Amino acid sequence: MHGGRTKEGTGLMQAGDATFGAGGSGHRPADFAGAGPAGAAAPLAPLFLSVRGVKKHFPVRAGILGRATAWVRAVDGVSFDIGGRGTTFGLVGESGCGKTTLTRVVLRLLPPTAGRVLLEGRDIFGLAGEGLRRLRRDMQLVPQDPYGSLNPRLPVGDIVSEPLWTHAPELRGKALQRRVAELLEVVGLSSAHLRRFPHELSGGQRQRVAIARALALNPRLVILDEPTSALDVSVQAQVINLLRDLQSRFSLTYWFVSHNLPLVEYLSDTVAVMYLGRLVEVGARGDVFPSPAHPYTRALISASPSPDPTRRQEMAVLEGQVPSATAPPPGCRFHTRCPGAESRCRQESPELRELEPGHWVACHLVAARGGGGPRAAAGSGGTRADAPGGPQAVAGGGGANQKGG
Amino acid sequence: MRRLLRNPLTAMGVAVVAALAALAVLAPLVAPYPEHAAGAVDPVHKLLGPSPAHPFGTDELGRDVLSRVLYGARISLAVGVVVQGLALVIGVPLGLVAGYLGGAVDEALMRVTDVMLAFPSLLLAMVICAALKPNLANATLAITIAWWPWYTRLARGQAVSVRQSGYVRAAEALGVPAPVIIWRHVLRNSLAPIIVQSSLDFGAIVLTLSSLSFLGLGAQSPTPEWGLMVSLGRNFFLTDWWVVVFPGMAIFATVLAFNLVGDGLREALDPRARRV
Ligand SMILES: Nc1ncnc2c1ncn2[C@@H]1O[C@H](COP(=O)(O)OP(=O)(O)OP(=O)(O)O)[C@@H](O)[C@H]1O
Ligand code: SF4
Ligand SMILES: [Mg+2]
Repeated sequence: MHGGRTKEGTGLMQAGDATFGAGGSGHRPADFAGAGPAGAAAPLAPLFLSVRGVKKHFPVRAGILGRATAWVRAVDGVSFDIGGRGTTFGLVGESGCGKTTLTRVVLRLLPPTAGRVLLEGRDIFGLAGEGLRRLRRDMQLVPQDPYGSLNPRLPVGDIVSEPLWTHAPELRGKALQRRVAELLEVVGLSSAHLRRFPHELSGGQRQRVAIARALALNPRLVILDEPTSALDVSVQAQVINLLRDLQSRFSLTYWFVSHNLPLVEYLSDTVAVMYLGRLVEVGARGDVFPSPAHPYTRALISASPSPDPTRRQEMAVLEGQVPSATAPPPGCRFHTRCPGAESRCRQESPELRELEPGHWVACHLVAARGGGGPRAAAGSGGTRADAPGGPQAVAGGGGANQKGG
Repeated sequence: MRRLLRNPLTAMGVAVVAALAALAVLAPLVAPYPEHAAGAVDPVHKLLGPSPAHPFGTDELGRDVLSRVLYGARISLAVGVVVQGLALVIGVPLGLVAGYLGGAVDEALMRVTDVMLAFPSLLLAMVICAALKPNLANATLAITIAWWPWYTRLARGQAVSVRQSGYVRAAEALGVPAPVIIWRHVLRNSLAPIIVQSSLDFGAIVLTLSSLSFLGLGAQSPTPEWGLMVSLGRNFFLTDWWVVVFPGMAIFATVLAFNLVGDGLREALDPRARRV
């Protein structure tokens, strides 16, 4: 095992610059190198995953005939790209906004209502047979709940070997055992855990098992669905550090899903903010976090726990309930809670528009001022202290319709 | 297993089941008059009360009731095992597949079982027996036909809930083929309630067989089937009670013992009832 140990002391607060780490260099153990071109060394990484206009509506059935009487619009027109190898795409949004549903559609576990998903140019919804098997190898999931995601009646060794059983018929017997032991070591467990059952493991250990299972096939995209939300805070940091460490060692591409904004900020290169089945803002971490453009992002950032207690006083707390996904508000879905909403917001639904290269926002008011360019970014000093002023404040100039707060 | 035997009632049930099984297997060795189970008669000694020579007395044809009850255990347990085995082998895979895959297969299968379960099992078995030639083999077949839909329903319900679990979804995301998912994940996590139900049902199967025989729709004379023995002896019940009471008690003890074991299993296998 090359470079076996988890890096000690990779503190949670250390900045995230290792993401493009050990890409194509000889760092990767031979077993992990087989997954196609280790592309981080290439100057222009090709687009990896393109999601275009994906919708997923669930029928709400009633009556004996089970006819759909309404639709839960869990995902309602989402487009984004996940870029080059070795990067992290962070998806953040409140509980129930459709994050898990979106990942399940992209994983082809749920048929989409509309839209396309291209994985390196292949439309995944058209795949069958060998192509679909390939997809199942290429994209791996670390599910939301480490307590439910491991079969309680299988020992850890069997759980981790399941992907290898399924996709690597050449690995059997001793070779399979060696590979499983190696995977456990990679995630910080040992072969002593091989015969344990999930109920004999702690939450953190279970999540390590789930990670080992996800890495077994050298995936090209690892989808982490709130990988730490069910864990204790101290364990969370360990698992997050493990994930970062694995990413730099094997130049993994992550799609990290969470409702924990600081965590998304810490891990992601690109951030997408989701609200009621739609993306409201997408951009590089360095663009979104210092100067969020969408009122919802701003509210989320100011509401997320800040390390500085004096700042907590100024938090803009989102008012009102998240509307139902069965009957989302017309126009901009955020208008029921948006401090800056105008009449137009109640009628027209804003599309994602490019505010600056690579930074997309779906808000009428921000987009209207988007040409103005210099948003409060560096000048207004600090992210969390921004006044809850609605989109106008983003553009810097005091708008005529300042009704926020 | 230790948890299972901690409950005294369960332990008693297990003891009775074990004793029944042992006696059934050893019947040719322990029965004083094995030929009386096979059809031989001894009219000279008919309707003798319990005595050292005939602990359970003799019946109207002079046959030793103890020997016939012991051989009857063989029949009841054998039919129970066959019916249970067939019902599980037919019912559980169908239920798991229907529950896991859902869709039209599931719909169709559930309609079929709905119709079958609309009739009480005994009634359904009676109708089938009456339509066929009444004998032990046909009674076994009839009970099996009446029984498998229960296991289909049970297994389907389990599969539907296990299908939603995180580990099944994880296996699907890995591209594990459906048959493997059903075998490794769904079956293993559906088994506990099926085992409990099988144990509870075993007594009911024995009772159904005896009922059919009692009504003349099952085993035929001279088969030493408990229900048939009760049926034949009921004419002498007021004067010669032992002809009816001992086979009757055998039925009762068997049904009760399997129920106790089933209850004990349910407690031992249910994680919520577990004291840690
Ligand atoms: N199979 C389904 N049938 C009907 N509605 C569903 C189904 N799955 C999800 N939903 C609904 O879709 C919406 C989005 O659910 P989803 O699980 O994707 O949210 P989420 O963002 O992952 O939330 P969380 O942070 O709680 O995991 C919710 O309103 C949910 O009730
Ligand atoms: S300002 Fe209007 S468009 Fe922008 S987020 Fe608020 S309600 Fe939506
Ligand atoms: Mg979720």
